[in-house]
Amino acid sequence: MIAVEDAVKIYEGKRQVRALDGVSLRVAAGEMVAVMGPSGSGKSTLLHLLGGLDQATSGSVRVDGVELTGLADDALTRVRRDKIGFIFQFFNLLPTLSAFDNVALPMRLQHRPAAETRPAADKFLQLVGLSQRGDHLPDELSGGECQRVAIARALVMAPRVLLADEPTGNLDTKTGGEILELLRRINREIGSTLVMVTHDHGAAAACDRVLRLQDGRLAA
Amino acid sequence: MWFLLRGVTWPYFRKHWVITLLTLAGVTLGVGVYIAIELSSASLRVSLRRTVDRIAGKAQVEVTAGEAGVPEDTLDRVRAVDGVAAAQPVIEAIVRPEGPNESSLMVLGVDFLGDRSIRDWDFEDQDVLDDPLVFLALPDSICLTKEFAARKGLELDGTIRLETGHGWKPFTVRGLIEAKGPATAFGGNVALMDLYAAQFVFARGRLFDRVDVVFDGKIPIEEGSKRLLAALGPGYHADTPARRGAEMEVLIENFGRTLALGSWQAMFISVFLIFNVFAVAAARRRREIGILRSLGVARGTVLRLFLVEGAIVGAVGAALGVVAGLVLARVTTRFIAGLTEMAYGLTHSESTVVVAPRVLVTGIALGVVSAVLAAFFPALSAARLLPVEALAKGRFQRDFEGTSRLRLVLGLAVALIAALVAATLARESFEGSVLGMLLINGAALLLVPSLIGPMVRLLRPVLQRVFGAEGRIATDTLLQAPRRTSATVLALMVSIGFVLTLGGLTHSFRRSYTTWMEGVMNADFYVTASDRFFAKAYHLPPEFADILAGIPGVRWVEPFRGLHLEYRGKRPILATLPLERTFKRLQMPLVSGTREDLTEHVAKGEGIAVSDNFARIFSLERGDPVTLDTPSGPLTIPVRAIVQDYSSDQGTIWMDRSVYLRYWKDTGVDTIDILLKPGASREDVAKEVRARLSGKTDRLFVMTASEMKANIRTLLNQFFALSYIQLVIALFVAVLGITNTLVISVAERRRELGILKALGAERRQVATLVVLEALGIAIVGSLLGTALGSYLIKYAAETISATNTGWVLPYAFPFGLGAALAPLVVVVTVLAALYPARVALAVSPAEALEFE
Repeated sequence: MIAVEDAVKIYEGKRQVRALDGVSLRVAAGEMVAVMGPSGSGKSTLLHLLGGLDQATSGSVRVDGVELTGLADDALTRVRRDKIGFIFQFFNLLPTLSAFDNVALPMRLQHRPAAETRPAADKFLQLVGLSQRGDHLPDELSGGECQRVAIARALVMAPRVLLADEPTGNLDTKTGGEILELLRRINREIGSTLVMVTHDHGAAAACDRVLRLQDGRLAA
Repeated sequence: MWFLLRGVTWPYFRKHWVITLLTLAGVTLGVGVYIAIELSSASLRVSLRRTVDRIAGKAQVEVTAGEAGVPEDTLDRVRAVDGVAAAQPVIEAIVRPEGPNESSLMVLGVDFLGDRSIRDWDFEDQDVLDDPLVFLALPDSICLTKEFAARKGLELDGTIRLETGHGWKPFTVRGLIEAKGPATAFGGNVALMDLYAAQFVFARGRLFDRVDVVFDGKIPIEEGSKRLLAALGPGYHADTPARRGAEMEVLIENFGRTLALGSWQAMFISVFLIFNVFAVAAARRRREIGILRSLGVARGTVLRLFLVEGAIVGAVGAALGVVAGLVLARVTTRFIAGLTEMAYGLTHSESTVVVAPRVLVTGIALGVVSAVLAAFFPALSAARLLPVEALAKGRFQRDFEGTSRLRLVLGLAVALIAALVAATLARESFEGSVLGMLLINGAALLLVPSLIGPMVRLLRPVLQRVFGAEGRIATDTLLQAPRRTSATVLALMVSIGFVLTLGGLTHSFRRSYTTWMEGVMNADFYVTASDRFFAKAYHLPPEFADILAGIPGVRWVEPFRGLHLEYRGKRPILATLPLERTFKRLQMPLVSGTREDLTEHVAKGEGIAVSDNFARIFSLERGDPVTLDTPSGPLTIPVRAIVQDYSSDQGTIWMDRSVYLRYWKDTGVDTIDILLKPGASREDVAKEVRARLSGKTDRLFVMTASEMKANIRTLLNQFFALSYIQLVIALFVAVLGITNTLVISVAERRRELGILKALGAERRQVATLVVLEALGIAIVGSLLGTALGSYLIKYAAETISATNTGWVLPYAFPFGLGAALAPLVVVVTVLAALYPARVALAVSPAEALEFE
């Protein structure tokens, strides 16, 4: 599902930063992989490359058969929209939209008809256990609930790949555990490929495989 | 403080350079327009004063008897007054030399034998004064300044063609004057002629324009003036040249203040922009403030930091405003010069801008103080922030929203004060009425934000239906940031309100004027010596009226003479006609009095009719006596009727010609109104008019009523150009406001835009979002602006117009302007959104999401 070959990411600035230095990896369809490493090791950069949020300076990044390196902005946008779901540490919900509207947002951006949007959003809210909280604004939800809404939003377009950046990093241990359990269930039931950046060893232990990054390289 | 400015403020403003530039542009515009108008006004006043001073020479007192002139025999009576050392008559005419874009020339008709006792003319290497009889013997003789002659490429015995009371006439240059003393007046565009030649050329009859007087050394000026007035009797004025100049300056000052409304409005909105920018800056720099506070920076220092930033923005904007103002002043000076000449007959030599330091300093102070005031409340919010709150992650917005209750209470208080001012001060003075308008705007600014949210909510389903998710997200964004949305909506509201108010006033005046003109301009032909109703330099001989009356097909003729009077510090028009006939055909609505008052009493010279604005300006009612200065002494005459009349913003007096002839002893005619018998051929009569007057004058305009009306409409349009300039300024400020807010909005929402992009929003969708947000602002701002404008039109028509011109104008909403404005605002809004949309497109989702 994911194939990275010798990916290099260099940030130009006053001082050149080599965030990723020849990373190669493969993730099979339906696999749940954790990426760990100290701060500045390149975890988030790797996630951004996999999600088409950023592009590699050199090397190849393929997601579901699509080569992302060198892809135009609009094409990258379509890849993100059609193939990838994001889950962020700080949820990144739009504060003015209700839980339901946040979940429905990706479909609405594609101008999908309400007849399709509504049942899909309801279904995923139910999946994350928030079917009764759809009318609430993010402000009115707990951190765990916000993350559940974010997960439902990530799933609503039925992406082939789920990318999670510290999904439990902003939650207490109990809530974090619940979110991990939810992600594992989704991985099992829906079969989404999940790549999760985390500092949490417990979270990593729940994954099929753990990749360790150190100074922009994958540790052996 | 310096460290904080360099380390905290400068990087922020550099990072948001577009916002900074737009904010500076707001201040620059406000200060620039203020300086341009004030400098123009000051420059024209200085130009007038210089001309009056220099032409006056040694004259201590000028004897005048109104615009009509001083009878010739007055000269001997002046000279006979004990203590008068010298008295010289003067004819003064401003004429246009032939050639495109020629600046005006001031022609002085003087007595060459005696004028050196008053003015020091310097003729070098000429024998003109050695043998003045040669000069005098040839009536086409003229002296020019060397400067002017050189500019025109003229030498001695060269020919210059000037427009005179008898058409274009050639004059021979028989003397060149050195550019010294009086010859430097009027920008050196001075010419000298023999007194009596000038009297003929400029159709002054047996009158002089004034007599300049020098007293012998022992007599103080006041004493000399008293003796003169005692000897000459009432109707004469004996004023120092400075006083005459000062009276004219007041007219320019009054004119400038109408224009100044535009600069105040620009300043008002720029204050608003600065407030908006600083409020956003306070929110965005929340963490910085928190860090500084936790490191021990005192509240006072944070407050001062923001205020100093405001002062810097104000100072830089004002400095740029000075430059812009100096450039703009060149245009506005020309413009005001043209308009004051048209309105009050004040002529200016040149439109050179005199840089008055007082104006520049005031402009800069205005810019700095406005910016500091605008920055005050955001500064206070920033200073009050607790470090722990400031450092907390999360939403920035809500902590900075002012309490709406306090705003409502303040708004109601301001509305109450506005109502009080509107009922009292606003009815008494122009300044009071402008204060009232500012307070109404202030009350609207405080009260209206409560309406913006509900209005945007109403808009949401509409935009969602039309534009889908983008429409909904755009309206949600507007709702999410009420402070930011309010700032632009309010700026737009004030701009549109102002545009509509000006447009409404203009529309109302144009409509009233047109209706009035249709009722008044109903003669079949108008024969004049000028393309205007009356001009000081060009008159028709009275016998022309009799000649024209004898043309077959002519029912009757009415000789019209109009002049500007000096009356209680104003310059109203005195319109004189044989009113018995005139009032039968004029359809002027009566404000007070009856038709009989007009046709019986006023027409028989038993009283006068005055315009409604004259009555209002001078607080007169029907029956009140009015005392006018005439060459034959003061004339006290009752007001028998008040009529609606739009001839002059200084008021109009209608007087029967018989009274005028008796008191002014001036038989000159400006216009002859011709009325035809039923069935008479207009073509034949027009042909006959020209035939009968052929050879008698070279300056003849024969116009039909519709030609005359078209002529007046052209002049009127020049006046309205003023309003249009202000409209453009208001719209420009509105564009600045919208662009500024949208740029801020995009800068504030980088993260949100990043989320949308990460979720798969296409470039087109992101750009649409920004444009829709602008559209939402435009719709709400326009609706509120229309509501505000609708009310302000009424207010301005009843108070600002009344206190400025004496006219209470009927309410007229400018539907045409409104209809034109709606698409214009949409276009302008979309244009204003282009740059922010580009910025939004450039947001990298990865970077935006990293930002926390």
